[in-house]
Amino acid sequence: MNMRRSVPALVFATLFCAGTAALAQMASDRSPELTGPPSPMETIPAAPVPKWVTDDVRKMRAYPEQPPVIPHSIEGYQLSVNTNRCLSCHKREFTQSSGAPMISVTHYMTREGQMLADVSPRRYFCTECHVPQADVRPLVENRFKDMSELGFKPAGSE
Amino acid sequence: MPDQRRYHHISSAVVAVMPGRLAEVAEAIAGMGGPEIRAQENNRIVVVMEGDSAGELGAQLTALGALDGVVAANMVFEHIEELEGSAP
Amino acid sequence: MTAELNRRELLKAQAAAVAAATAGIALPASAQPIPGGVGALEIKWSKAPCRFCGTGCGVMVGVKDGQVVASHGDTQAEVNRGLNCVKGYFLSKIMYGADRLTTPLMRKRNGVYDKDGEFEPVSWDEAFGLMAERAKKVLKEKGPTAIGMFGSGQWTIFEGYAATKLMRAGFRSNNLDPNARHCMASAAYAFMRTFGMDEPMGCYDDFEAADAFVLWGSNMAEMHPILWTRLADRRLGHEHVKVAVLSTFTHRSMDLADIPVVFKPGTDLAILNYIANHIITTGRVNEDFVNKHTVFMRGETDIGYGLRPEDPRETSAKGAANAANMEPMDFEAYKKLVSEYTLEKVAELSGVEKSFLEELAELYADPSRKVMSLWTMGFNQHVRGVWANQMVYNIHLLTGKISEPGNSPFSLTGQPSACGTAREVGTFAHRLPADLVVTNPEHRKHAEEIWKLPAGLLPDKPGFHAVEQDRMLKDGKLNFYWVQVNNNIQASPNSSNEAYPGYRNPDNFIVVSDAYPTVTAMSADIILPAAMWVEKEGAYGNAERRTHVWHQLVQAPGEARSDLWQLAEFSKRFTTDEVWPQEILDANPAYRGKTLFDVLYGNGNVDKFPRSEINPDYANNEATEFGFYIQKGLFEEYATFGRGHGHDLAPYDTYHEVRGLRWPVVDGKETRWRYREGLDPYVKPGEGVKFYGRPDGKAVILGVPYEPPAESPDDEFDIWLVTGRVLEHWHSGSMTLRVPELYKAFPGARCFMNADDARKRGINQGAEVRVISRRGEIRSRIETRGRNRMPSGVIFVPWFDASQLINKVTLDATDPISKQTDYKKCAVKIVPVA
Repeated sequence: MNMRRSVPALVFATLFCAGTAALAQMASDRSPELTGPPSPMETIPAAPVPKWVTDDVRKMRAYPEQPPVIPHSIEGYQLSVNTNRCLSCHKREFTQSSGAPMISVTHYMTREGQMLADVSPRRYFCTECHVPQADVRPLVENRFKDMSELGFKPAGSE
Repeated sequence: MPDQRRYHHISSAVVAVMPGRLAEVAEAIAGMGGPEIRAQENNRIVVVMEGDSAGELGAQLTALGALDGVVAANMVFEHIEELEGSAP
Repeated sequence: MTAELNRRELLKAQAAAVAAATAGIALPASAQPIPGGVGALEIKWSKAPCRFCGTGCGVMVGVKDGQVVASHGDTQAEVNRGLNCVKGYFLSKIMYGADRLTTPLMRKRNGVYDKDGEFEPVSWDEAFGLMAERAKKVLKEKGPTAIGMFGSGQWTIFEGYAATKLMRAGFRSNNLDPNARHCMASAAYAFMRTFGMDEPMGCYDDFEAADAFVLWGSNMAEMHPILWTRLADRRLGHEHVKVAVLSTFTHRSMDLADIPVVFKPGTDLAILNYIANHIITTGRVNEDFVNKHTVFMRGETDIGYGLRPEDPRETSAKGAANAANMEPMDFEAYKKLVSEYTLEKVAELSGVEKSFLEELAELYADPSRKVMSLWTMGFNQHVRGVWANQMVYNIHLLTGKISEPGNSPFSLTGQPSACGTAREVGTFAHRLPADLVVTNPEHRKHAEEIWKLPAGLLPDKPGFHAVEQDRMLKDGKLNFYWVQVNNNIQASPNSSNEAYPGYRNPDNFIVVSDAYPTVTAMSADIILPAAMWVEKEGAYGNAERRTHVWHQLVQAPGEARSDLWQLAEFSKRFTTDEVWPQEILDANPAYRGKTLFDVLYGNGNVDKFPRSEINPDYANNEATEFGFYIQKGLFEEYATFGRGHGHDLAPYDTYHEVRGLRWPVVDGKETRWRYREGLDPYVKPGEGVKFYGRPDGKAVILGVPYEPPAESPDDEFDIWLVTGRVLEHWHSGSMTLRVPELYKAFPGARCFMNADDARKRGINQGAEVRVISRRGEIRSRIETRGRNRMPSGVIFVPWFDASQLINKVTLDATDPISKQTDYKKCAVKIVPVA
């Protein structure tokens, strides 16, 4: 069974204790990585380097315009003037054999709005927008609401 | 143990079309047999897709994106229904 | 139709409705199964600038049910034309971290304030009450110089302007400085010393016009991603275009470099003088330009390192007392000064191959090549940062490659309103709006007139700059301190010795306004919850002089309030009789008995515009609270300083309609290139080029030598430490670490190290190490692979991670002229954790 958990969150959660009700309430939402250790200038152990998510399962986007995250490791990928390892799977011509999703055609459009036959140079460096994900749990919950959660009550959900 | 539950996937997408090619693209989508057009206006087409797996819908979305005259096809909404009586 | 099929039809209709709403399309009535119709699903899209770096990208922000639900690059924004970087694409989530601060907090014990107590929620009234009491006590006992504020290049223009009024005119203290001091003070000082006017002459349009780009210690691929897309677009789309990247290690920007240059820390000064020497010795000086438009000056040398005055490195520095001095010199003397910097000598000193140096120098020397030079922290966070900035201007001035499309020395900025607020509004300890300074009596008089305040009210002595504020807090000379929109305990150099002790000094009272519980907030005595970004109406100014305004789009959570509200509301707690000198009130009795709010914001300017002028489609909490359109009033009063003086801003309302405009905006037209006839309305016909910021209309070419860093590796501390950022996190990470996708993309700081250096110390990839300097230490994990490839003898540690406060390790040395910290050069050792 593959348990995913964040080691630092477990370790430091127990170290942290707060005096008053207010801080205790805050503490439940806080984690030392984001606010510093309980005593701010203290030197604390560094969390181990986590592994990347490599399951190749596409993650739903939080909203349509979000660039999809990369469900595999890109360690050692070369991205230079002459080589673009990402394109060697995600470019239209290679997707049939690689099985990778094709780069969106929005990427063919130039700054002036012209459509090219291939990826526009302004989109050449993929990692400006697309990032891999480490196999860790976020330290702080994010309460962003998906638009489908708002004002949306599926029929028959009672 | 393999998952024996069955699912039904419903999703919608917005297809952005190059100026002046709305009708042509709409026709091509209609010809695909899968995605249903629900609305079109301002170089955008709203489609709804359904199928048995996320992969199936992903394939439809990719096909939409690859149509001539399409700038982008972005998935907006996805709902997964567990089919009744399919739980192990 | 079975129940299941019926349900599916409903789901499909709903799916269509959601998609239609995002696309802004109305669905046919028959396809509206949602209670309330499609209107209930509609997303309202509004424009805003990005919250992060100084690039100033436009974003469209989608709001539904009072929440930001989506954002995307604004296709109409000239800066980014529809693109965002990964941080920008996740803006929608930055306000929704579960630990948002929603109520004021005060340290208490047994129900009363206690510096050693624990934080408890209090009302705004109680928080402001104690703050006012403390401020009055400090004013009475120690005077205005014991009151201080640390602001930010993330303040909106109105907030910075309201703060500068409250501090200088209200409390009569110039101890106001922005975190931009750590960021681009060197650039700002160099602009003033070279051109007599702050900010770049060119603009981003230079990216599409240049034939060569030279990055001086800037890693744009990570720190200015959208400008990098414009640079990459130009380079990859045009074969003749060349890119040179200079840095102390190999990073992502080097991926595009035709001329990759890794030099030894600090030797960029020598490389700059070598290029000037190369231009002169190969006969490529643009003599006509140099004769007409420049003057030569010699800078004071041996100017020290901005350390505490008793440090031996300061007492032994002969020029430290007059660090900013410049004396006239002539071309021949300048030529002689740079002639020392031969190819051989500089190659040896910098460790750079001769062929690369020559190729680099030729980019500038070749008269047919248009060159854009770009820099940020590599130059600015440098003990000779002002020199480095001026030395790159030297090269552009010697060749006349300036103030025209594609020929552009361009100083980038790291904060969204480093230019718009910190610099233009004048929130530095020595500045007033629109490049005026507190030391000039005419400038003070002008400000007093615009502000409708008594003559002689404004203090004439520059206040404490950022690093000095920390020192004065520690030394107990600065006792009431308010920090807004920045995380200085994480950002400040040598923090455990020089920054944190001042916050916990029992003589001091520290207030921190922030949206999240940062390290700095947790070090304070009172925490005020702040509204952020589109939770308030705002205005930012980016690196190309573009002023960009946005509406309030959503409500802040709980009791959180904007910094503008906090400043203006707090000013109501003071009367002029309590804070102004008796003789000023005697001479101006009409000001007696008024609150600071009355005289600063109720002065007939700031309260001039009624709420009815606000677009009714948007909320404006501050206007509702104060009863007038305060943002417009502040902006229009502020704009008075610059109109007609080369800093012209358009009428406020215009900015709500456009995607920003680049000042000076004259006759409704923005200015893309300054100082050149036909491009800049301030240059008269026949003048050609005029650097009108200086009385003689000429720019300064500065003769200065190479001088070494404040601290270099030795036998014990044997390796250079360079700090900086990564693409996925912005500054101290207080926003980006709360976005799960960005957190997971770079979940913790690493110590990037050369693989051989690691092996020699018996350290493996991923191993835990201690990074130790003479000042402090952190624990981190070694990265020998990854995006930064370090040369032997240099490590890189980013500073976003609060669990690895690398600034405990850094040195509080500054440029002695700009007082900006050098975060790029100090000596450390690396020890494995047993």
